Amino acid sequence: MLNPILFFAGLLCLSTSVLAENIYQTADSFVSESFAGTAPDAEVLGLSADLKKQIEDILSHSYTGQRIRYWYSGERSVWVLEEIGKTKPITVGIVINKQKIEIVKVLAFRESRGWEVKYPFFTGQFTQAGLTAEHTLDRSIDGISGATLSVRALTKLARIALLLDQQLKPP
Amino acid sequence: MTRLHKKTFPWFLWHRRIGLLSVLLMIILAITGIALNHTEELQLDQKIIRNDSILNWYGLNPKGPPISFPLDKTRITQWGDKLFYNDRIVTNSLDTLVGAVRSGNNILVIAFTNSLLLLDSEGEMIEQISPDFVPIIKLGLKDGEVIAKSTTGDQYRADQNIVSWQADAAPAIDWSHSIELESEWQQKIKLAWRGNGLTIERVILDLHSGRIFNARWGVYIMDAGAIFILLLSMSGGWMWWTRKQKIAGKKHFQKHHR
Repeated sequence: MLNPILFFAGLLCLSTSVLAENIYQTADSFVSESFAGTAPDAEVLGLSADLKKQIEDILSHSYTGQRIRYWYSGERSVWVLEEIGKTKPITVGIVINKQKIEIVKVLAFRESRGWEVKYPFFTGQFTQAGLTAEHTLDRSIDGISGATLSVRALTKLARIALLLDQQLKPP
Repeated sequence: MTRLHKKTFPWFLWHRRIGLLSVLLMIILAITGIALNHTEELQLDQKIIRNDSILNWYGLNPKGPPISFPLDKTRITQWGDKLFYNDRIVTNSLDTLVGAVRSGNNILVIAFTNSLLLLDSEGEMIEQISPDFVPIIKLGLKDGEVIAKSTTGDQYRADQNIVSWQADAAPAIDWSHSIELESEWQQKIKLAWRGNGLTIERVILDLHSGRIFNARWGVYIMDAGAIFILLLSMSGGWMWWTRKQKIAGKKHFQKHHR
């Protein structure tokens, strides 16, 4: 017969693991991987008032911060951005190549629901997406039932990464 | 010859008991009700409560002691889940503040256990970063350059714009140390911590509804007060009616049977 103490202890561990922060990859590791092991030095993009307003329009809330860091080589830029899903931030790595999204990857997920967005079946939808003049994606992204807020957060970050990439001038 | 009195319900006794029991509740209901009817004239929604006891009751005081790092005349303080630049809230953070320094380039670098926050000289946020060498235990300066120490014992030096970090085992670092925050700063930060604050209208509303006693069952206290008022009205009305009937009967008897 199952030991009730062990049973409830197991349930507790399961519940805490569901609630704990999940870091799938560090930012440095993602950046290094994106540049095949030879990442360039980080740079920072200063946010003008106009650019900040555009970011806030995408986010639908205010954005604090005067700069965003990125890594750039050739025509590829890499961004590590965060946005709140329901209550906790989701950390996302985004690679832009020739002003189109190359990779979207969830680096850290801190909520108990909506983690399905980390799977390639979802993030793969962003590949080759570009930004329209209205700062929306040039394609629709299918949502995931029960993960609406996480889907929304990733979509916003993808738009912001494309917008920021447009501000960069080739070296 | 004795007259046997019919046993009647002691209305007066219970009327008195219920009245005494509920006098405080009725006073509260009456006064708060009148006040709420005149909220705008009395500007109750604009006046802020400053009394510490009431604010403590509402949980509007930060828990635990503040952690504060001095930067000349500036104070970088974490109290509860909020970070302050002097007495202005910068951000919320559940992480622990472990250091604060001003770089040679006049960037305020604030270290939490798992992240770094960069502020400009006015206390406005520049950037928040989570470097790979977290958790951080100390932050210091050497020749104007910012040095962070992680729990592994390794040290990292930032460039002048605090964009990149390099391993650096340099000795003789001037590490930042927390201080006991002066009481005048504590008062200012407490006021800021409470945000827009608690209005008198809110307190009166909660008193009138009973929620001030307890968010869940406090309303039942005032419900009981309202029920007591109903019972008093009914018992009072009944006593008046029976007494009126009794007097009328007595007058009839005196008129026709004496």
